[in-house]
Amino acid sequence: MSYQILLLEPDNLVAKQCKNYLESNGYKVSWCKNAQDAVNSADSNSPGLVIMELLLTAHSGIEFLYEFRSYNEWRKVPVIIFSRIPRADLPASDNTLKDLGVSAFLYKPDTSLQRLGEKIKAILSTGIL
Amino acid sequence: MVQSRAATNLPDFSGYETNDLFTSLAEQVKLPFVQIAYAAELLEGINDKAGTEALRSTIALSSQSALRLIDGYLLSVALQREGKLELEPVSVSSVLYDSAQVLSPYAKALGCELRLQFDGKYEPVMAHRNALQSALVSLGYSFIEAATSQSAQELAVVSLVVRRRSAGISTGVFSSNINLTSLLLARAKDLYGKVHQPLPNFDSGNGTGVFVADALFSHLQTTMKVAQDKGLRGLAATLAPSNQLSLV
Repeated sequence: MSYQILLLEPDNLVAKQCKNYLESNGYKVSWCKNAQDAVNSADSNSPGLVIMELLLTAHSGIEFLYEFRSYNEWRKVPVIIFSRIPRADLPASDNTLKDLGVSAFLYKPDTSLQRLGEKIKAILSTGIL
Repeated sequence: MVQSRAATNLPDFSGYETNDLFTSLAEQVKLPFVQIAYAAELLEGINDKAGTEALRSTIALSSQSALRLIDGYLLSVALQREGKLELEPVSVSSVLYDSAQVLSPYAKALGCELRLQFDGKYEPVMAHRNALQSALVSLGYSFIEAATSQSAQELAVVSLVVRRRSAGISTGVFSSNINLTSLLLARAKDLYGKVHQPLPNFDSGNGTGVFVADALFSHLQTTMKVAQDKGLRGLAATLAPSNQLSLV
């Protein structure tokens, strides 16, 4: 089965690189640069997983997450935060992230594409969907 | 063993603002390094020539953007240490043209249309050529990144502009997709180095290129301000014309 992944990433180059990698591993990827486009995309594509940067234009990633979770149909979609912000710099507690359904927090400078791929595989194999 | 700054010839980072700018720079250069790391990782699994070439190009462009930013920062620190700069007559059009040459490959790679806007001939301005070019290039990289990050649908346009104003010759960088105001810029100047995204509506990493350009313009005894040009919004500074006759 080919999972639909929503990639919310404002940087063009990083987004293209992630998209290429994920598509070469059999996933379908819809890429959005900002929170509003991501909500619209989720509406049309029904993603099975979200990968998102926290540093977005206009809205913060956490604001996007709150909005995303406010829709019934997206409450159980696993989310991977994949950010330039280290976990220690994010004021949200582990419980807050858990409540927001964040399955993993990956710090970009520490995370290879292969590691990202492994994390996705592990999350999807838990059968949350 | 602890060596003194003089012995190691390190720049003096004791100034609070310089420290913040350095922190901001360090955060910003993470992004091109991530791009380079991912391009290198993707290169391992690719066999076709076009794909390999595209990834090599990404590595080169990301390295260039990081190096230009670092150079701009180092130049601003060096100028700060020199004290008041001796300004000399500089052709702003020529600096703008050279800046466009530097920025053009990056703009092309990110799908951004880069324009040069002149509305006539200009006398030389009193400036420091390297500082002026470095400021415009820093702004240019930031605007290209920000403009192409804003919307996937619209074609991003970034313009390098020279205009004659009553106070002198104004030069700067403008874009159709930028939402900058004087208030946002003033707030950001208080926040850089302290928060991850001091310019929330301007998505160029953390906007360090803007702050580096601002520091460089201040060494040129002018102030970078939010400005508008033919419906585009951007950042520009006005330079005093030189009294020396232009030879061109």
